[in-house]
Amino acid sequence: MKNVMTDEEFEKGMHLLFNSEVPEESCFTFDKNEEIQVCVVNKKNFNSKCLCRAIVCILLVVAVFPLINIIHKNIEKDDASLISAEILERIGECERVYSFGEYLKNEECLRLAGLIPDEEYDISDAEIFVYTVSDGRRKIYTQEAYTVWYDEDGKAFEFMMTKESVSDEFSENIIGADCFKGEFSSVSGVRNIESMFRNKSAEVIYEGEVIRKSLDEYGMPEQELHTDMICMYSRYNGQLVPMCVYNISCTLNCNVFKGDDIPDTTAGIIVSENLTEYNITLAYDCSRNNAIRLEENRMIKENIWNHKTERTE
Amino acid sequence: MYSKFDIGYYLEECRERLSRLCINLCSNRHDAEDLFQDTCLRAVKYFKKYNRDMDFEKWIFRICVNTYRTNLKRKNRYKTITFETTYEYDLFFSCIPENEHQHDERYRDLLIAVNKLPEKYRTILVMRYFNDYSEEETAKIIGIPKGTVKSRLSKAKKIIREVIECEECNDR
Repeated sequence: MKNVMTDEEFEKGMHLLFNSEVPEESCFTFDKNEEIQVCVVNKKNFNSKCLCRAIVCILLVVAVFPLINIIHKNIEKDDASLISAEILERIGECERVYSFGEYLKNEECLRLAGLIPDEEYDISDAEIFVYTVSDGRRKIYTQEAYTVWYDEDGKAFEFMMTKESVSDEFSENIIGADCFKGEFSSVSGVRNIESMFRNKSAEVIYEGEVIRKSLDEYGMPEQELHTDMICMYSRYNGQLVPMCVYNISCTLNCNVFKGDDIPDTTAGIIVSENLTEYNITLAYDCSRNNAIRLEENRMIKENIWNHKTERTE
Repeated sequence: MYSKFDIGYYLEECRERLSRLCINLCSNRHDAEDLFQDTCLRAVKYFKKYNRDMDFEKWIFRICVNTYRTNLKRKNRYKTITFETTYEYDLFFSCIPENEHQHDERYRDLLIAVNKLPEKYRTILVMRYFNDYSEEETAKIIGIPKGTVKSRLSKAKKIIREVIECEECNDR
């Protein structure tokens, strides 16, 4: 009968299993030229011109290499890998035939763009957020992104920043219309709600319910209004969908529902003795020109806004 | 002869440890060799971007883990260990020093338990032990917070114990 493994045995066992030196004859060797050829042959959409160039380069490497060595005996240039790297760089350039719009279509592309951290590969319970940067007229998406994982209760438990960033070359080509098409129509919907809050002499109607009357009726209390916006990719009906998500938060220095029932809406109303808070979160599917508000409000989750408020408009 | 500006020099320096990492991640010599080649290929491709102030090994180990995970997702190519032949079993345990062979059975149970772990726990465990990295170093290589490494290691150990104890119950 076996005994239960002690901590010491466990540590020793793990060390021996994973940290025992691999014998020389069992170590692998990197075959550079072979790999390059495999890489070229396996490219499905590879431009034949590039293929020819790469093969010519490889042949040149093989044929001319000894000559280079003879000519430059005093210079340590017997490094096939440096030349190989150049070839691969060229191959890489040839691969960049897609626009950024296409680039964002699937997870693998997102990962290649550095928008999904390398750390996780299972993002079924995660959402990907992309910071927005504005250069005045156009919006540039990304150079920084992060994912958020949720537990079974929908609480965010892990935030992961990307370690890589999209190159300057890419970011120059990313414009709002490419990947978040309906952003402008989604903004207009949010602005309507904001303007209702700003209009102190009118009531605010949200989802068919009066959630705030004219401020006169409450003795003109102080009101603070703030809107956050973030672009994100989120799973919706099994697909990664580009979304624009807004959070309108409004605080009133009085309890506007004293003695009344709080209306049944998704306005996230919290009341205390002398305070009323509204947290309205709106998510729009921006994969088409006319953004569609998503009924399933997945964004009322803790901590998200705290982590990006500084970076939003 | 390699110079220090040549990736070949670095690859040669870490060949054994990189081979070991690939074998530990894949636990299958054929897949491990593929992973080794893929990792080296990526390293060659991105060598120009390698910051020489950084430890090369940590840089390439990270590429290795990321390549492993990408391939895992893309092709479901690397499966957890099953010793399909006696040769594979012997080869794996031939790496363990001679005087420890008497514990082979014990390590076999441990290895089987490790390979029953969900991937995210297993990878952390391999990274932590294959080169005696600290939790902090493991976190940096994989690119996750130290706290996450700690909690996953703890969870991994718990699962392993449960698996081994469960096996023992079945044996009785």
